[in-house]
Amino acid sequence: MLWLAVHFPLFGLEVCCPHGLPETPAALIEDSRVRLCNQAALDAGIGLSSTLATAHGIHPSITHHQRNPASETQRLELLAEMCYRFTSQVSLEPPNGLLLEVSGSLNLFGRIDVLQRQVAELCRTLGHQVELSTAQTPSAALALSRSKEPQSGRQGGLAGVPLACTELSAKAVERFANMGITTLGPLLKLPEAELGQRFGTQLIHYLQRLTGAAPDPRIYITPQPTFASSLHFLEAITDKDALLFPMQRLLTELQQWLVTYQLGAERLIWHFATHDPATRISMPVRFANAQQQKSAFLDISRLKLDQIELPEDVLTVGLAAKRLVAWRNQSHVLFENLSFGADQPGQSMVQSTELIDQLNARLGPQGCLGIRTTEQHEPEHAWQNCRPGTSAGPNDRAQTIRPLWFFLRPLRVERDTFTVLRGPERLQAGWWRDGSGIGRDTCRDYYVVEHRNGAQCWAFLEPNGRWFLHGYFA
Amino acid sequence: MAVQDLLQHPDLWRAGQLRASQAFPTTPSGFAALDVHLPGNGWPEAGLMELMLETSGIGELKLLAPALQSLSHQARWIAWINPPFIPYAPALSALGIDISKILLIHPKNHEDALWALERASKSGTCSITLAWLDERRLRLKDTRRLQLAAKQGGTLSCLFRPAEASEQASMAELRLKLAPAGPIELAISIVKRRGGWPLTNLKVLMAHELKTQDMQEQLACWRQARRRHARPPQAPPLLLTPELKPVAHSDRAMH
Repeated sequence: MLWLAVHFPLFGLEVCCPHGLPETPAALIEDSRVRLCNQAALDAGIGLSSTLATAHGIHPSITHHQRNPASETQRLELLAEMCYRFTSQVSLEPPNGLLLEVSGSLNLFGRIDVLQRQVAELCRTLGHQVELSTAQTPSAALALSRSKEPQSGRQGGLAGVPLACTELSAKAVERFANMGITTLGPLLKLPEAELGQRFGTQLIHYLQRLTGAAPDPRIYITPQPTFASSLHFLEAITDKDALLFPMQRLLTELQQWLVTYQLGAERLIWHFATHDPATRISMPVRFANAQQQKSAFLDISRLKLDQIELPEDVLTVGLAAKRLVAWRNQSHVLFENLSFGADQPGQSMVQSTELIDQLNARLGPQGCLGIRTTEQHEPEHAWQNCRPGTSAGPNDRAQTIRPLWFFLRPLRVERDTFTVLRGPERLQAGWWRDGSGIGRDTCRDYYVVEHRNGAQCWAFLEPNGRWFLHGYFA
Repeated sequence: MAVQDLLQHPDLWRAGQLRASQAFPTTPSGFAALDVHLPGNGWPEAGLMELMLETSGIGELKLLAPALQSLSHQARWIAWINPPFIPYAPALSALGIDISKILLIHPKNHEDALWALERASKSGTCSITLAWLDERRLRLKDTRRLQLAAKQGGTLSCLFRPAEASEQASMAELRLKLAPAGPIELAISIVKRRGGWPLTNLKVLMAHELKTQDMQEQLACWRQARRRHARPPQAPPLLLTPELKPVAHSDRAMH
């Protein structure tokens, strides 16, 4: 077993600042005491666990956030799901850590430092500082990763880990400090039985788990089957352009999530809301083919965003992915510029559905359609609209003459405006249809006629002697 | 420098030298009589082409049918933007056009139509675009944008305009004026072509896909009908512009 501990030193603060930590001093407050602060605040001389009043006294313009345990848990779960791509055995270590069992993953990633680099990169992409450590037991990995923070003052390996970084209670840490023991090394040298007598069996169990003498099972996460994430802002966003940044951030998360599960999304739903949850606006975005790339999502979402009306000030942006399908990766053309214009029978139409997505996003779902033939002989029913790129339908190259332009509604004409070229072709149909729509009890004689203006038309004569134009032989 | 060397220079164009520029790819129009007069012996595969006609239905689609048929076997779309009527699937299919490549685009207004045409031409995923735009609002600079977009995307962009448009300037690289000339013929005037003079009244036989017998029969029928109903010379040409909404799909459920 090889455990990789992922420790987020500034987790609580990062959760409160979704746009990244500010350069100016910032602190996380819990019970009106400073729990966490960024480097600028440390440099200004603000210490951990000082009161908010002290912090304000030292630096009046410090920004502070109240700790939000619920959103921290939510965020940690999301990060755990992101890390699911590296190993299937990911466990949560609240409040700000993850444990990954990676011995199996080394077959894929090769070396542990390659894996560590990728984990660190992922966490940085998602906006988190991270400390990583590996060890043979989960407790040791966690203790090591926590002790990597610069202010912990660790020297050497596990033996040098300060007791404050372990899972010992604060009281026990203080008692050991009074005995002159501040790191794990001297503690592990003490005889177990006596330690147990003085400090209780809980300590002994912890030390056994730390050294691997006792088993330490963990509960692994089960990934969620759908993606949903949202961002909340402290200040309202009034500009659509400014909305693109949080949207990009959510899409980055979505892309990572989709890659992890080898899925593609066919439909996204964006939510925009103000203070009042009732004003929530949903913006669905559809794709002709499942997509995985952030850039593809963003292009279409931006087009769609231009079309909709948003509330004045947006405080929350949410993203949910619907219609997830297994991802089939396409190979791209290596010399793409050389090939256009030439016949490429092997090339799939998949790459070109981007155009359909763009058109649908701006013109609406009915703005871009395909056509197909059907097995009906009545002119009105011999064709259909369909989704672009679906099969063409039957093609019987019968000797019947059909016009290239077709009128949806026949146009009434007078007999003296045209001359008949050929015909008739009698089409009689529709008596089996219900209602009185087109085609009910139709009996028409179709002729090819030439109109006075030179156009060749497809006209029909009804039994009552009225003539109609029904198409052009364009 | 000798005169012979000068004549070889690519920048030098001599009148009557129609096929000098072989640099851009073309696709045969399918009509030999027309091909010899087109630069590069065919429609440009990347560029804007204008077809100007009095009224719909005189054979403008048949003129493009051979090109549509060969281009439809590319893995690219054939985009119809704001068509005045419904392109009839059975007829297109019977001409050998792969109709699964056809996109019918119905923009709500002129801006959307221009946007869709430019996007489709530029994307490189359409082999040919056929567009009917609002003539009153089409500007010279729009044709320039469309020409550049078509060049960039490697798309044959066909713009259908009324016959009066031949008086206006346009940045399209090929401009043809079409007029009816009998049931199986089309009179084509080349208003503008790259590396050549304008040409008027070129008769092109349209009945390429009909059998000879059919054609003869149709022609005989037409002549007979002509004799019987001699066209009154004073009758004004009636323009057929039925008030049909191009949005044809609203009545029909999408299947």
